Amino acid sequence: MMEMDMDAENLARAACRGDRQAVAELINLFYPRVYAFLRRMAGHEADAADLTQKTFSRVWQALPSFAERSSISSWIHGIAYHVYLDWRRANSRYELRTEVWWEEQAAATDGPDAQATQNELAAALYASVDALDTDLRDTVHLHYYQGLTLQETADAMKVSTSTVKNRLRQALEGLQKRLAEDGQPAGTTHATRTL
Amino acid sequence: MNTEQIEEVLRRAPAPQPPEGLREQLLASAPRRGGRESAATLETGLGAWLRRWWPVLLPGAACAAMTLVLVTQQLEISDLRASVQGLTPKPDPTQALPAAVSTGSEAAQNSAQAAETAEIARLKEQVGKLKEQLSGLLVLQAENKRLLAETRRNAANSLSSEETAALADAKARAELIRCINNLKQLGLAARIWASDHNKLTPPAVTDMAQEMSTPLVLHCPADTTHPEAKTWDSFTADNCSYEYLAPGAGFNEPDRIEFRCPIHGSMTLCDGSVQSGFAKLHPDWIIEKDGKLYYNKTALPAK
Repeated sequence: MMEMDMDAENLARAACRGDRQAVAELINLFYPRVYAFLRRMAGHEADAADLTQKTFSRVWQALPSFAERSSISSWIHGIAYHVYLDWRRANSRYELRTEVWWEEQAAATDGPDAQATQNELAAALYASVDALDTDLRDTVHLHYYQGLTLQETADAMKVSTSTVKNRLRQALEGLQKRLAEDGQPAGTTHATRTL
Repeated sequence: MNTEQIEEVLRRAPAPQPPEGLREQLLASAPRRGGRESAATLETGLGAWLRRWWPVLLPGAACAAMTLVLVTQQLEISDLRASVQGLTPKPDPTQALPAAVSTGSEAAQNSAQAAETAEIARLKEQVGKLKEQLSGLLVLQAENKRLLAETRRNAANSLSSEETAALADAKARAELIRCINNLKQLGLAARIWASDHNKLTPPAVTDMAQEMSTPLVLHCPADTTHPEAKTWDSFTADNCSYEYLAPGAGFNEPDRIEFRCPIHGSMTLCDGSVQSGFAKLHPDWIIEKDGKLYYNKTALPAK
């Protein structure tokens, strides 16, 4: 990850100097992750594609002012996160992802039939994440789904690392409680029903 | 599912694949051309610099232009004055000399000298009067300052003993409230630290520096013996007003005393609650077991 960040930061510097090849490399490196993040958050393919384009448009505008105080990954995720927040405020709408969508995503992963119940449980868990408070949900998306470190998540959300830790702790407690309330006994790994 | 299993499942969340054509759209909307032209597209060149600084540059340029206009006008005015002075008629000595010779009488000269002498005497008299007035003004100014200082002193001394006592009481209550707030923040910081470290409190207060917004929360506002440290770089054990009594304590000891203020007697328990002043008011409510201090709830009066 560190090596990738170094490469990405070298690419960012080269792109800033006007290297067209570096621009293309940066897009290749980050657009799948940015799209996946926005797809999960926005809930629609078309909206996610539109927001991804807006994100990269802002990236090119702000690239000269990238001061390398944070990693390029957290910087781009921070831009994507704020593009999403602007979109959500402007549209005054937020369509909660249905459990069906998560089930489709979970079922799309490779695995034998024996994993079906685990996929079902995972889908229920992902749907529970979307039912969390927005701050907790966004933190879970950035830290777990996007694989950012605590520091990178804090940089992207412009909060302190202790706030991120606290939100993650609250989110995990909430998820565990919800699973237990819905009939999933603590300590088991098999789902009997969805949430 | 336990926490670790939930975290593992969350980390393995499926990533939606981007639609076809998105990459091409992004590449198409990326800055075009290479080399210096591309740098301009990426807004690193003069255009970007101007776009960023135009709110400052515009007023600056306007000021510079106005200054230039003013300087030009001043130069023109001084030129005009010089030319006007050059046009003023000068007394002609060839005409003045015959007039003096023609009048030439000593009586006229004497009267002119007398008039000048009288004028000088009158001016000297006025200067003397002005000097007297000035010295009077200085005396009045000094008196004014003295009266002002005396008025302020009287205003400060005019508070009655009740008012002074009320002020002191209010100050003490404010310090107590700030002290309780500090203890609450310390308890919260210890719990956050413990949640990341096997549910055990830190071995020393400095270990949870990341969980505290400022080292000032370790200083009781009523404490005059320990100096305040405003940054962690300058913080030492001498800057801490509070006693840390529960290093390495677990969440299973909610009644154990964690922090204690030796000035107010307030305490933070391991469950995060703060008890105000009872160490001084009810020292019998504190019991010691194995060298640890606990809040003895059984000693509380029945409700």
